[in-house]
Formats: sequence, structure tokens, C-alpha cells
Amino acid sequence: MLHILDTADARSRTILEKSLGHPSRIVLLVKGDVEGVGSFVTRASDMATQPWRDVIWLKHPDLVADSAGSEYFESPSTDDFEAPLLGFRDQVVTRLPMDATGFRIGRAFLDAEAAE
Amino acid sequence: MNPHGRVLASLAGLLAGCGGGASPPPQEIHPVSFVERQEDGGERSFVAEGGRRVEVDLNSLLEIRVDENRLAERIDSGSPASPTVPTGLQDRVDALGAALDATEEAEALEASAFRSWAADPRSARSAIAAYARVTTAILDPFEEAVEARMPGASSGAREAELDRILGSGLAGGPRGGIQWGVVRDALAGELSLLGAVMDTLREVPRPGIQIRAYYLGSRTSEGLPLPLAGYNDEPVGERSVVEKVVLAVSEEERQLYDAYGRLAVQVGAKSSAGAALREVLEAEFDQRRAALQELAEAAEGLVRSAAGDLEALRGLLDGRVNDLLNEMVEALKASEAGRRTESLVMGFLDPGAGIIDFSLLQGFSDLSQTLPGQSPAGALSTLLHLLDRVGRIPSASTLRGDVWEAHLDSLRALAASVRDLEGPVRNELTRLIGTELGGLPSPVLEEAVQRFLRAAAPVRGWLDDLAGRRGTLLLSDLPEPRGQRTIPLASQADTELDLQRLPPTRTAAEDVLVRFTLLSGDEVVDGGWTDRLRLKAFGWSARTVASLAFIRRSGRSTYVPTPVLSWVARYRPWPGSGGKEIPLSFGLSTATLDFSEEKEVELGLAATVGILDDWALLGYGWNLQETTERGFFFFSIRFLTGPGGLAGS
Repeated sequence: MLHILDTADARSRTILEKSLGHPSRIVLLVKGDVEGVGSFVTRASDMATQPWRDVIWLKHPDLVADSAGSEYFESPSTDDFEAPLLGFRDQVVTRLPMDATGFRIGRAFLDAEAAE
Repeated sequence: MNPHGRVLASLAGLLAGCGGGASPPPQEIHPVSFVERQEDGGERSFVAEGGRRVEVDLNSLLEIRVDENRLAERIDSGSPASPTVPTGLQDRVDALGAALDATEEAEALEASAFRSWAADPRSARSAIAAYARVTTAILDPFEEAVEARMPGASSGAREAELDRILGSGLAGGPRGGIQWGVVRDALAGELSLLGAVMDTLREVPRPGIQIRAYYLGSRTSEGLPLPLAGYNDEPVGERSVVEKVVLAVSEEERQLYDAYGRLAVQVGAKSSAGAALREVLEAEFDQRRAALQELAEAAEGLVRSAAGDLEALRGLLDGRVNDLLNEMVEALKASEAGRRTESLVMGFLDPGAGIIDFSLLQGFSDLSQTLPGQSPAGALSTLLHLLDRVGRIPSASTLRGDVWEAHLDSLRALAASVRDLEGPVRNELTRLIGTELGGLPSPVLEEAVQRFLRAAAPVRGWLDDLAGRRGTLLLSDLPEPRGQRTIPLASQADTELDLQRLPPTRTAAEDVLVRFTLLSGDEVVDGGWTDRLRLKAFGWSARTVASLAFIRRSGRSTYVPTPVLSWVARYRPWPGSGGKEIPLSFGLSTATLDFSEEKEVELGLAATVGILDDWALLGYGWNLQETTERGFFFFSIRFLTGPGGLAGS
């Protein structure tokens, strides 16, 4: 499921925290206000039709800087694209590049799920 | 028993000694067979592999029939192992196959994960992980296969290819989750691509066959490549039919006769034929002394054993042949089988049948007034001319195929009956010889013949080789036929070899080699094999032959070497006709004699029996210029076999 969090309100933070805290979810966090990120998110969303897969696009800078997901980014800047993929235990399984194909993203989800 | 009985017994011994032989082994199913189409319209099939020399008529057409399927099997079994598919490639194929098989399990596990999630999302992790592990195991070989078939491509290009093929499959289907149909198509597609690659690697070269045929004539030491339709571009020679019954003295035999004359002068008179023979041969072949010694001793034994019996040939020439035949009939009558056969035998012996009329031999003694003064060659020419003109003797009428054909059935029946009679007749003859003559040389002669044949076998082949008649040819030395081609076994590989297109000078006892080479693509699978065909003249044939004879005048003990010119005829039943071959030839010989110091030229004329394809001749005859003690016996060996052979050395 795709979540686009473009506000730093309580709802967005709740969505983020529930997703990250779920023992059976695989979460792909995405941040970066750069050209091409939207396309990446679309491809990632296509690969997340399984209900246990979440794609969360943190569009608001505050969420990137200060939220449950902030710790998974290497840079707090929204200028930089990052897409860490978190396993069932919220560990970073891999970090996807922005040009990752749909196949590569889907494969990354599977790898994360298999590494239970 | 009178002397005729002894002759009969001797000939029976000769026949028993020469006519035997083990039955050919049953023919195996073979990829190549021959069909011989004979000039008389008959045909027979045979296979020749294994070095066994098969006799074919020198006027026949040989069809070479190739069993393409059987030969292809042989090529397969003889081929080196099929090209090995690289291990990595095979592994990829195996892994993709396993992945394809695993999609059903993955699909089921995915459904299970969905159900588990629906039941309790927080407890679905294990089910999700199980589904994911199987699915990643499916995708791993797919990725490896794509990567392997794109060597040198950038990672971006490979990723794009993976996404093109399977990106949509991993994206959600109608109910969410992977589109397994797309995954299966993707895996099958990669398998198909790999299969095509493997087919290329595994492609077995087309099996094919090369056939080469060579004529090994007696006049050359080289093999002459022969045209084979489809297989080569050798020029097709003019068709010629070899006349089998020759009533003339060939120039070649005249030359040999002269060569034997020169040898005879060198040898001089000897105390025995064996001693004379040994001297002649040893002078030529000092290295083979032991073998020649054995042959000479065997020849001496044969001469000694045969001399007494051959004296009885006089009986044939004295017109008493009917007594001899009647005696044989009486012997036949003594057995049950003989009684059944009597009518057949009597019919066969009926002079009106015109098959064998020995009394006609008597007529030759009348020529004593015309032959003296001629050379042996001239005398023989005169005789043959007369034979041809008056159509007499084992002769014109009996040499005609239609006459023989008319009596073929009765002859076959007779032959069968004679076979049945063999035991009773032998017993009867043995009894007669034992009781009336106290044991006679028939068994001794038979043993002598056997010993001579054994001794002659190795020496004869060796002499033939040295004489250049069948020089040892290495197969590798045979020239390559022009335009030699490989015929794929997928197509018609039969061909034919027309022996009538061999050189018109071809003769019996020459060979044709047919060499078969099996190929897989351009590679020779194995050495193939070579079939050896021996040219023969089947049916009636007659020819003149020259030989070096050792002549012993009746009542004397010394042997005088003398060239002899003989005309001998024989009948060889066509193979497969059921006829029994008598391995003897019969005819006449002429020789220059020197019985009297007063007479300048003395001519001898002798009835002659040839054995071993006339390689050895035995005869008894008369000096046409003498009135007393005119008989003589001779034994000869025809060891100079061609103008290019020892006669010229």
C-alpha cells in the first residue's frame, strides 16, 4: 500500500509508526524532493499490492527530520533521495536507488520478506 | 576292379578333397548388401563384410544397397560422444526447469500468505517468509539466465531486460500479488532460448557414407578407381562382355609358353618331377626354400600317387568309357538310393542327351596324321579350330547355356541323389578295392592331394604376389576417385557397379575392392570396411593356359621339363543356383616331346585335368610321332601367371 505523507501532522505520524511497528510488514521509506522520485514511488507502489507491503513517501521535511522514520535515512536533507527498505524487524535490508526498475523493487521486497 | 574303377576312385578322392568346405556362416543383418544381376537374368543377394572374398561373375551388374537406417545406427554407436553442453548452461536449464516447476508451490504459498494475513496480520510473517523464499528461489535462476545471455551488457541494460520481461509479473495482479502466468511465461521463454542454444551445441553432424570401388587387374599393380553413380565423377567406360569360352591361343599365353620353354632348358632332365620343380622354384625364390621344399615333396607325392591311376586315362581314350560308366551305375544300383536314382542316371548318361559324350575324345586320336610337324601352340590352335568348327566334344553344344538349362532339373535331382549316395558308393568302392585289388591308392592319392593343397596354399599366394598378379596393395595407397563425395544417409545412398564397364581385358581371379567409409559430418567415424570381390567366370568357361610340365615317358623314370599349352574347360554353377561345383577342369594339352633321337619334331597330345583353377595340371597322352611306348604322363604347375610376372625376370 502506498502512503504519501505530505504533512507532518498526527495522522501522518500515526501511519508511519503503525507501519514501522508492525511485525509482519515490509516498509519502503522514500524521501527526496528531486526529479524522478515520483516515478520511483509509482513503480514501488506497483510492487506493493500485497497487503503486508507499505511504500511510505515522506514528502514533508519535518517527517524526514523528526519522525519514527527519520532514523533510517542517512541524510536528513529532503534534497537527497533515499529509499531504505525495512524488514519485518524494521532493519534496513537494502537501500534502493532511484532508478531501480519495477523488477528490482519487487525483488527487493521479496528478499526482505524471505529474510525473516 | 579294372583300372577304370581306380580312376573313378581317384577322381572321387579328388572330388572329396577339393569339393568340400564348411558351409558359409549364416548371414548377419548388415547395413550394406549386394545384389548381383547376372548376364543370364539371374540374381542373388549377398553381403561381403568381414574380409571374406565373395566371387562374382565378371559380366555381372552389382547393385550396392545401403540400409540407411541401420548404417546411421552404426555411425551413432561409433561416433565420439555427442558434443558436451557446457556445464553452466546445463545447470541453468536445470535450474530454470526446477523454477518453473516450483511456481505452483509458490503460488500456493502466496495464497496461504494472503489467507494468513487476512486471518491475523500480526501472525502472518512466517507464511509471508515461506512464500518469499520460494519465490526468490524462482527468480534467482531467471536473473542468472538473463545475465548469462547478455554478456558484456551494462547492468542498466540487464536490469531493463529483467524488468521488461518480468516487471509486470511481479507487479500486482487482479487480486494483488504476483502474476504467476507472466512469471511462467518468462521462465518458459528463457528455457526456450537456452534450449535453442543447446540444440546448436548438440547438433549432431549428418551421418554419411562414402563408397569407393577399385579394380585390381592382373596387368597392373595399382588399383583403378571405378565410377559409382552419385559417389564420384570417374569416367564411365565402354561396356564389354567377356567371352568365357575362348577357342584360341592368346598371345599372352604364347609368351608364357616361350618363357616356360626357356626355364625348361635351364632345368634339364631330373629324376623326379619334384626335384625338377624344386630346382626351378628355388632358383627364383631362394628365400622360400623350406616352403618350396614342402611343396615339391607334396607335388612329388601327388605325382607318384596319381601316375598309376592316370595311366587308366588311356581307357577313356580307348573308347571304353561306357564300361566305366556302367561300372559306376552298377555301384549305384547296389544301394537303395541307387535304385531310386537309376533311371535318372541312365537318362543323364544317354548319349542322345548330348551332355557328356566321352567317346568323342576318341576322335582326337585321328588328328595324329595332321598334327605332327606343328608346334604345340599351332597344334592346339588346330584342335580348337576344329572344335569350334565341328561343334563337338565337351564342346560347342554342351557349352551352350540353353542345352545345359534343358537338363538342369535332372542334373539337380541327380546331384541330390548322388549326395545321398555318397556313403554307399564310397563303401562299395572301398569294398571293391579292398577285396579285389587288395587295397589301392585311392585313399593314398586322396591324402596326397590333400597334402599338396595344404602345401600349395601359402606358396601359391606368395608366388601370385611376386608375379604381380595380385600384388600387395595398401588401402591407403589406392588413389582417390575423382570428385569423391559423401552421400548423406538421409538420402538415397544406393549405387551400382557395372562390371561390364571394367576394362575389357579383365579376367577371372582378379579382384574388385569396394571400400565403405562412414562419416559423421566431415569426420570419419571409423575406418569403415572393405569388401573384396573376386571376379569369376560362372557357367561354362574355357581357356588356353601355358605351364611348365614335367613329363615322364611311359616305362621311364626321368622327368623332362617341357612347356605345355593346355585348353581346359570347366563349369561353375552360378552362385545360389543349387548346382554343385566340380573343382576340376578338363581338356587337352599339347607339348613338344623328345622321345626319339631320330625325329626332329615330336608332338604330344594329352588329356588333362586341372585343379586349383588350373594352377596345377595332370595329364596323360601320346607322342603323335611314335608308334611304341608313345604314352607319357605329365604334371605341371602354372606358376608364371602373367607377362609382367616372373617370366620376364
